[in-house]
Amino acid sequence: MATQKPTEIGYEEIAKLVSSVTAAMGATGSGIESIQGLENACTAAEDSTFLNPGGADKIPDNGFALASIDGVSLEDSGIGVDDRIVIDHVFTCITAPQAVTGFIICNDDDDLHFMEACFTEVPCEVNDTITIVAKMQFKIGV
Amino acid sequence: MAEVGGGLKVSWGAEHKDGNGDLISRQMSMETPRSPTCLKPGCLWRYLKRVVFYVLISNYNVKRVVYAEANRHKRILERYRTGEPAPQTIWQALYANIKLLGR
Repeated sequence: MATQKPTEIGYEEIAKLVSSVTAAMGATGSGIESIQGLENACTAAEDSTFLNPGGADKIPDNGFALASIDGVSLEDSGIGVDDRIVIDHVFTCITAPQAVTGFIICNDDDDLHFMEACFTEVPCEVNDTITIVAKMQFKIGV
Repeated sequence: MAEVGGGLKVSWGAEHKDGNGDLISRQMSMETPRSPTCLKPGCLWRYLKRVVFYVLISNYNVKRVVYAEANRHKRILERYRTGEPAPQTIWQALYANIKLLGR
């Protein structure tokens, strides 16, 4: 009888690749590197475009513009070893108040995003912070 | 082509603090209800309850964040800022929504 399965160690390797491949390596794709805030109505969807993630607008300034993520690391999901990517980032509102409705996690080439998150609007005043923790796991299904 | 289940699972949390480091609101992702595993009435009933609970909890979280943000400089119940403890049953979620009506 023929059988096939993706492997746990394969998923672990995918997580390592997505968290470490940079644009400077010259590969056809690149891994997680940047984060950006979103404003206006936002609903996350798998078929979102990079131009309008979740149907929202990317914030170009006020501390929520495209920026390098503060920290990208790996953790154990309980299924595999180092198979879950953890993204930590702190946005600080500067210059002017900004209403934030979500964020996107982008690659190093800054031409696409791996995930988008939409939440209830957060009206930030200058010097406010929004601390983001996002996790991505290449998951084995049932 | 053979297919297997699985994919990319994402989750997130977002914490809004003022310039002094005081918490204003905290939000986090929620998993959508698990699909029913069979078509028996019991399975479908349990799925329906999960969906109702999910809708009530989602509604509650939106309302409490709006309330917390609108009262950033005021003293309010901490659970409206943190979301903890969260309602655990449909009745608790319904009651939590009613408590926030008109706030």
